Amino acid sequence: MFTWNFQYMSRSRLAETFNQLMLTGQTGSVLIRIHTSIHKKDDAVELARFIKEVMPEAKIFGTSTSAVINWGKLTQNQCVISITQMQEGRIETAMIPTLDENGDPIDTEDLCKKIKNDLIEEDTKLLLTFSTKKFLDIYNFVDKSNTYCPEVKMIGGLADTPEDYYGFLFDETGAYEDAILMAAFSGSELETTVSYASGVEVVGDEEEITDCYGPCILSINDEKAVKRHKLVLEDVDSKFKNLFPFVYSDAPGIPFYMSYGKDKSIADLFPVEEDYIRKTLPKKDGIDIDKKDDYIYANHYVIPGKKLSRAFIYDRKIISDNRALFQTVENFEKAETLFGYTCVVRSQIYSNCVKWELSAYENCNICGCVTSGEITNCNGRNTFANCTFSLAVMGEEKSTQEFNPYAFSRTDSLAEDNMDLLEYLMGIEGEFASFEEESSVNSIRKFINDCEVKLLYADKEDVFNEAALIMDMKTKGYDRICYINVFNVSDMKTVFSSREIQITRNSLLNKCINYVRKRHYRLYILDEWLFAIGAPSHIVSLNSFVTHMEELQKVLFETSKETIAIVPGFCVMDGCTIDNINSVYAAARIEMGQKNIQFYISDAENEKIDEEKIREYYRMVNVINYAIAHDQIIPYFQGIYDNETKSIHHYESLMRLKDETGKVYNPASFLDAARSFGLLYDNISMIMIKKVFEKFKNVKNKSVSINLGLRDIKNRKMVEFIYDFLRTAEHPENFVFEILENEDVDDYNALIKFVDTIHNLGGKISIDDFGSGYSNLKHIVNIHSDYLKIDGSIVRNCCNNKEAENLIALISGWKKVSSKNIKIIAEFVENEQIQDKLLFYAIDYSQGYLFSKPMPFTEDMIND
Amino acid sequence: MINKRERKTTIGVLVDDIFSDFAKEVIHSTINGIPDNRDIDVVVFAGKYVSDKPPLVFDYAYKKLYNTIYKLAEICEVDGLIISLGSIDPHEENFFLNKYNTTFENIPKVIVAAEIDDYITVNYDNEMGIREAIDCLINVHGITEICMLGGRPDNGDALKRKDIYRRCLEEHGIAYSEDRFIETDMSINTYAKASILLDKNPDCQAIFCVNDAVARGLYEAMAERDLIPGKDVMVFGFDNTLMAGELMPSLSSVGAAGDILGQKAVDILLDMLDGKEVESVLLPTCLFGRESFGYEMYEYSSLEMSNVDSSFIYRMFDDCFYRYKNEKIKKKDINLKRLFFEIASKMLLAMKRKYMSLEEFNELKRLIEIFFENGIMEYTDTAKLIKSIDRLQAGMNVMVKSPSANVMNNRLFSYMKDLALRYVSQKLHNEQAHYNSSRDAIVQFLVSSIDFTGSEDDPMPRILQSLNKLGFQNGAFYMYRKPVHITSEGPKEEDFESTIDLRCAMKNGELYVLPPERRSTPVGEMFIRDEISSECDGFIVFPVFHGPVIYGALVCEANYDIYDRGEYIADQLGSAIHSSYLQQEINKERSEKS
Repeated sequence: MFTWNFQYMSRSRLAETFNQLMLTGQTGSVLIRIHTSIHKKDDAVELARFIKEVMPEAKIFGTSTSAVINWGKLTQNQCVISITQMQEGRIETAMIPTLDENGDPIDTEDLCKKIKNDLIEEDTKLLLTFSTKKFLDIYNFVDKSNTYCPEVKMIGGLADTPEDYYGFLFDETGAYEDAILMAAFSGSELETTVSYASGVEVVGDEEEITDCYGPCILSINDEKAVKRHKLVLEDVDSKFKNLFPFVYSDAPGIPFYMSYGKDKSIADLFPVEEDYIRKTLPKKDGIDIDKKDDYIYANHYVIPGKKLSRAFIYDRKIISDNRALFQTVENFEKAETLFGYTCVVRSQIYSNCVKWELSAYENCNICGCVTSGEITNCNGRNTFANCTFSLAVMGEEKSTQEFNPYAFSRTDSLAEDNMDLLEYLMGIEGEFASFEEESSVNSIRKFINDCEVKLLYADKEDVFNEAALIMDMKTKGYDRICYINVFNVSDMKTVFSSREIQITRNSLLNKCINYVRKRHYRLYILDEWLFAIGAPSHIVSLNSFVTHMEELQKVLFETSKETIAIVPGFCVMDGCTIDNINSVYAAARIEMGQKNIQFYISDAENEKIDEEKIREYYRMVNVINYAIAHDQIIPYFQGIYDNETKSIHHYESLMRLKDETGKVYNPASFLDAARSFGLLYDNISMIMIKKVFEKFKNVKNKSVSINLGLRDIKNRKMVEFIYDFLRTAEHPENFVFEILENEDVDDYNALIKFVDTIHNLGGKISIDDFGSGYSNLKHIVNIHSDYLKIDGSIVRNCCNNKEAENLIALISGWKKVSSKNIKIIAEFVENEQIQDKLLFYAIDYSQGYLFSKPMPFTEDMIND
Repeated sequence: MINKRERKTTIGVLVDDIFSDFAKEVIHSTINGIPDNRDIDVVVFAGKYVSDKPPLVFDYAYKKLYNTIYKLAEICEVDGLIISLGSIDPHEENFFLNKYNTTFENIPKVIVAAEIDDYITVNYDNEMGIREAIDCLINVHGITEICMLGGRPDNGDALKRKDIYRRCLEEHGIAYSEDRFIETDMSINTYAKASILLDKNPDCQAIFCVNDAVARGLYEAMAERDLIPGKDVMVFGFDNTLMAGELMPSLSSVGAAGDILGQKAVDILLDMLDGKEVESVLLPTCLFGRESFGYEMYEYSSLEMSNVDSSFIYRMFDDCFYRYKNEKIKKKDINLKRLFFEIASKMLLAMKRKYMSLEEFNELKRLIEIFFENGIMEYTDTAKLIKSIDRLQAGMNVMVKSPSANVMNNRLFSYMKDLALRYVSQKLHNEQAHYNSSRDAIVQFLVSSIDFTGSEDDPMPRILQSLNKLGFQNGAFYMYRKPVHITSEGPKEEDFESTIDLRCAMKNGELYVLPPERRSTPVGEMFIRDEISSECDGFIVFPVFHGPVIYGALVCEANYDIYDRGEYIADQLGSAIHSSYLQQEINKERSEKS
C-alpha cells in the first residue's frame, strides 16, 4: 500500500504528478480522495472528471470540507488530493442515494443491505464513509451497519463546507447532497484499525430518552426534556457550548450535541427545504411539525429508550485520550497510511486543540479533513459521533511512520485555552447563583461545579493545578501565596537516577500535602518542581503564614537515605493578585538566586512599579532616538588643568543629547535607558567617538580623552574602528581612552588586550572613577594606565572628610613609590579649598568647575 | 559617597489625664492612624490637667512637677505635634500660646477636641449625634423629661453640648430648665452630682451625659434608687469609648460616625508635614445604641438576608463591629471583615439553598474560631454583639426554608455567642491575673532594688538591673547626669541639659544595661536610638521624679496596660531611686561617724 498526499495546485501540476508517480501497471486498485474547501460543486466534479481522464483506473472519492489535514497540519482554503495505491488489495467505491426516486427517504435497513451487497466482500476491512448533514438518520445507519457487516470498520463523517450550507459529495458522475459515498478497502494482507480521541467525560447522571420525534427529544425520564435541559443549553452558548455535549451510555467516549430551539416549529429547526423535512420525518400522533414550541433536538434522529448523560470535554481528558489514541497508532504494525478526520466544532472548542493533537503526526503520511460529524469505531462498534478526532491506520506491509510522541508533553497551549474556559464556567456559576428555587438549577450547578473540578487538578497527582490557584485568587481571595521551588533540577538529573529523583519528588510532595492538610491551606502543583501554597488574608495573618512556611521548610529539609538532599526555595508573597503574582515571583526569584536566599518574603503591593520612572525611561528612549535621527548627539569638552604648567592640558569629551526643544541632557539621564537597549548605546557611543575623532584628528598639541564602557570594549566594530583610526592618526598620543566600568568585568582578557593594543598604536589609557564602584585596585596592578582619575565623590569631600583626604594622600603616596609613570587626575574640583588640598598632595591634574565647565567645541580649544 | 542616616519622623502627642478613656483612644487612634508605608514614631507626652483653682495643694504641686514632661517635649526634636489638652480652652488661650508656642512655633500642630482660632483643629461635630439622640427620645419614645449631666464651665466642648441639648429641647417645644441640668468635673467621680440631679427630677425619663465617664457615677446613683438604665431612665453619653460597652447595662453613646479624632489628626498633620494645604475639620457623629437606650441604626430585613447581598453583609459587619472601621487594619493581619463575609455569606447561602453539609458546618465553625481568636471582640462590646447575633438569628429563623440548614445555623450562632461570652470571662480573668502579677512585679522590683547590705557605692546598677521587673516589654530609661531640682517657681529652661543618658533599654522583655561610654544621647534623639525597639509604633514618656527632684524619663511602648500603669511604674522607679540615694547618704554619714 502506498499513499501520496499533496495539495492541489493546478490541473497541469496534477497531471505532471500523476505522471511522475507512474501508478499505471500496478496490480492493486487506486483510490483518489479529494477533500476540497476551494471548489464549488461544478468545479469539483470537473476536477474529478479530469482526474478520471488522466487516471481512468482510479476510483474517485470526493467531499467538500472546511479545512484539510495534510501531513499533520490543518489548513484552510486548500484542496488536498490523496492517492492510495493498493499493492494487492482492492478498493471499491459507491455513491449510494439516501432518497428514492420519489424523494422519500430510504430505510436504513435497506441502505445497509445495499451496501453489504454492492461493496462488502469477505476480506473487506475498512469502509470510508461520507454523507452530508442532510442525512439525519446517520446515527441509525451507522449503528445498523454493525449488524450487517460486523467485521468492517468504518471511518468518515459528514462533509463540511467553508460556507453555511450542506456539504456535498462528488465523483466523476456529479455532486450529491442526498447520498452516502463509500469506499471499501479489501485485501487479505490489509490490516486496519480505527480509533478516536474526544476528551469527553461523563459528568451528569444517566437519563433515559423516553419520548422523541425525529431529531427532537420530547421527554427524558418521563419529564419534558425542554424543561430539563433548557437552562444549560440556552445559557451555555458561543464557543464553550460545545464543551458540554451528551453521551449515550453505550459509548461513553463519544459526544453528541443537542440544541435548544425556542418558539420554533419542528420544520424551522433545520435550515433545509421544508419539503424535505416533511418528507423525511415520519408521521406521529400528537405531533404537528408546524406548531411552534420549545424543543431540544439533536443533529440526528434520536432513538427512544437510549440512555444518555451530560458530559464535559476538558483538557486533561483530551490529553489522555490522545495519548491512548497515539499508542494504538504507534503500536500498529502496518502503519503505511493514516486517514484522519476531525470535527469542525473541535477546532472551535479549544482553539489550540486540533493543532495540538495533530502535531504528533506532523511527519506522518496522514491525510484527511474537517467534518461536521464523524464516523468512528468505539469498542469494536462503528458509531456516529460529534466533536471527535477519528483516525484510521492501515497497511498491507510492515511499516512505521515518523511519529512524534513528544508532542503530547507540551500542553501549554491547551492550558491557555483552559483558563478562558474556567473563567467562563465561573461566570455561569455566578449567573446560576442568582436563580431561585429551581431544582434543575441545582443539578446544573453541580454539573458546572464538577466540570470546574475537572479543570482544577494537576495532570498526575490528585492536587490542585495552576488554574485552581488562579481561581482561588480570583474568587476566594487567596492573596497570601508561597511558591516552593527546587532549583537546579537539571544538575540533579545528571547525577542521580530518575527513580531516585522521582522518590525525592514524591516525598517532597507528600510532605507538602500532609502539612498543608494540617494547616487547612491549599497546595497547588504548578510545575514538576514548583508548588504553591495559598491562603486568604482573611483567614491567616502574614506572621502565622510565614511561621508555618518556615516550619514546612524545616520539614522538607529532613532527608532520608532514599531521597536526595534538596533545598527548596520558599518565596512568600503577600497581597498577590493574578496580575502581579508572576512579576513579583520573577523579581523575587532573581533576588533569591543572586543572594542565595532560601526563604524570601515579598510584599506584592510594595513591588509596585514606579510608573513615573517607566514613563521617564521611555521618554529618554525617544530623546535618544530623536538625537540619533537629527544629529543631536553633541560632544562637550571639559578642560583638564595641569597643576604644574597652570594651563589646560587636555580635554575630556562628554556626551550630551539635545531633544526637539533644545534641552540638553547629560549622560546621567539617558545612559541607563540607552544601555538597556544595547543597540541604542552602541549607536550613540559610536557617533560620539566619530565626532570627537573628527574634531581632534588634525590637532597637534592638545589631547582629548574619550569615555569607554566595557560594552564598547567588547563591541568588535567599535574597537576595530578605534584601532583603524589610531593607525592612521597623525598624533595617536593625543587620544586618551578613559575606561569606566559599570559592571563587573567578566572578560578581563578583552580589557587587557584592548589596553595593550591602544598602547601599541600609540594611544593612551586612563582609569576613570578610581575609588568608586567596581573600579578597583586590581586595575592598577594589571592595566598599564597612563592616567588615573580619582572618583569625584572622594575629591569633593576631601576638605570635610578626613577619610576622603586620606585616600587622596594614599594615591599620591602610591604614585611616589610606584615605578609606573602615571599621572593622577582629580575631578569635581569645585573650589579653591579643594584645589589647595590637591596641590598639597601633588596631584598632577585638576578637572572641575573651578577651571572649566563642559561646553561645546570651540576652535579656541585647539588653537593655543 | 558618605551619607548621613536619614532621620525618622517623630510625631509628638501632648495629652493630659491619660487615665481617661478619651485620651487613651486619642493616643490609640493616633498611633493606629500612621500609614503602614511611613516610618513614623509617635511619642506621647502625658501630663496632667491642672485647673486654675488648685483643689489640693500637694496634688497641685505633684501635677505641676509631672507636667515638666512637656518641657521634655520642647527640647526633644519632634517634627509635628498633636495636642489634646482639656485645659486648652478659649480663656486659657494665653497659657497655651505662651507655654507652647515659643518652642513649637515652627512645628506643624493639630489641636484635637478644642477650638482655637488660627490653629488647625479636629473636632467632633457635637450636634449631629446629640440631635439624633434627642430627636429619637422625643419623637420615637415620646419622652419629654430629659436631663443633662453637664461638664465643667471651662470646657468648650461641654458648653457646646449643653447648648445643643438646650436648643434641641427648645426646638421641640420643651422649655429648658436649670433644674434639669447639673455641672460635673467630667470625670467618673460624679456620683454626688448625679444623685442631686436624680433627686431634683424624680420624673426624669432620660439623661444625657456630657461624656461616657460621667455616666459611671450616674449608674451608681441610679442603682441606689433602683433605677435601671434603659428601662426606667434612658441614658446616653458622648465619645463612644470602650467604657460605654463595658458598663452594665451597656451605655448608648454618641461617637464618630466615620473618622475618629486621632486618626484624622494624623492625616492632617502628615499632610502639613508634606507641605499640603489643610483645614480644620469637624467629624460627623452619630448615636451608637446600646442597652441604656435602645436604638438600632440598621434593620436586618429578611429580604436582604435571603438575597445574600454582599453590601448587606458588610453593613451588618460594620454595625456589629462598629470599632473595626476606625482601626487602620494592618495588611499583614487577618482581614476580619472579609472573614465575616465568608462566614455570613455561607450561612445565608445555606438557608437559601436549604442545605448545609457537615463538612461545611465544620469549616464554618473553624472560621468562626479564627474570627474570634483574632481579636474581633476588640471591635465591639459583648452586649451589642450578642444582641446583633440574636437579631440575625431571629431573622433567619423567620425565613425558615430548610429545617436542617436552620439547625446548623442556629448551632453556629450559639457557638458565636458562646465565644463572645467566653471572651468576656477570659478578659476579666486575665485582668485579675494581670493585676496580681503586676502587683507582684512591683514588689519584686522594690525588693531587688533595695540594697540590704548597705555597702554599695552606687545604687543605680542594682536598680537598673531590676528594671525588667516593672512589667513592660519594650522601653528605655533615660537619666539626667545630675538630677534636676525644681524650685518652687517652677521649671526653668536652664534646668534641663541638652543631653541625657540612656541607662537601660528593654527590647521584647530583654533588659540591656548600657556601659557609660554609650549612654550619652542628645535629647532630640531620645526616640530614635537603635536600642529602642523599632517594632513599636508609639511610645509614652513618663517623668521619673520624687519630690521636687526629677531623675529622668521612662519611655514605654504605648499600649493600654501602660496607659493605666505607666505613671505608677514611673513613680515607683522615682521612689526607688530617691530612697536608694537617701540610703546612700545615710551610709555615708554612718561611715563618716565611725
